[in-house]
Amino acid sequence: MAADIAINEWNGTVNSQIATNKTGGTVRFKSADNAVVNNSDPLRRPNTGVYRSFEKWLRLNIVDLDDADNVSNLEVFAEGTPNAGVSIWARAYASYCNAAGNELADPNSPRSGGRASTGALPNPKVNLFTYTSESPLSLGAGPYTVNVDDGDIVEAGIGSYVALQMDVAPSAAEATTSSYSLVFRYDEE
Amino acid sequence: MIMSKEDYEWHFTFSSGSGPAFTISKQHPDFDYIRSHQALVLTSASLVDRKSFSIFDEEDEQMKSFVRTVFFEPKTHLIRSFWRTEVRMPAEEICRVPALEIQEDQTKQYIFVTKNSYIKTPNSRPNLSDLND
Repeated sequence: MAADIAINEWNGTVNSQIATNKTGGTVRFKSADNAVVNNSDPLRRPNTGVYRSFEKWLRLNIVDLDDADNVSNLEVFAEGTPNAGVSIWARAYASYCNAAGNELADPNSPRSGGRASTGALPNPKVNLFTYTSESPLSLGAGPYTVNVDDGDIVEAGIGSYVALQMDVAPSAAEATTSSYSLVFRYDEE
Repeated sequence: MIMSKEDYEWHFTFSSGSGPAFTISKQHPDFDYIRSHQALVLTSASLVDRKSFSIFDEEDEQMKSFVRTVFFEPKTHLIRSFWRTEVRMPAEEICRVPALEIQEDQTKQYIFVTKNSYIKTPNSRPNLSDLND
């Protein structure tokens, strides 16, 4: 049997974060820090500047290696083209809410978005759509045999998180945007 | 495309150059020793359908279960065999294919295989949609 690797979305405050299995599911950019896919807390089209979503943090998780020895070469990339006026930024984080990130100034409201000039995904962030099949974002070479901090610790998973944030500019159309494909790639030995 | 891991296994043929060639499956307990033996070069690799393969069959019968055989240049060494998986969100489209990483003389090459096609490339990240099921 193939290894069972899940894609989890992580939400919540540091040390109380919770995972939602999004394998085969949708990740929706919102003005709230939750994994619910609905029309609540939509992003707004600003008159000036940009309106930022809350960040989306995703990480791979070993559910069951089965007969595989390990998984390695974790990568992620995007497929598609964003709508006009919409940008999606991406970067990797070794742990949930890396202390180097600005958003940790207030750890009780991490990864918040909104219209303020603060709340942007910190650098080094890159336009998600520059990560392609040939040039993906590496989330760790591995090899991985067990989840990091597996057990009672909330940060179970392998490799880095990918943190995503959507920015909406005044030029965006007022509508539901297209969905984009995010592709996670790994090798199983 | 998605290939079921439990349905397939690799059989590798090695040669020392002077002695007879021999074939060994990846599941054999001595496989890692053979693979890493520098005096042995990899001459071919066959992806085998496990459902129809039997070691008790005559060689001609065994050949019928060979999904694909890839022959290599002299001085080829096997680095690893693995399964490449790509999972697309939001639709859970999974692409999973068997693959090899080899050192062919001075060049590292990657081989990705399906029942009907294969890619051999120095690029470790080829577009797997170029493969036919």
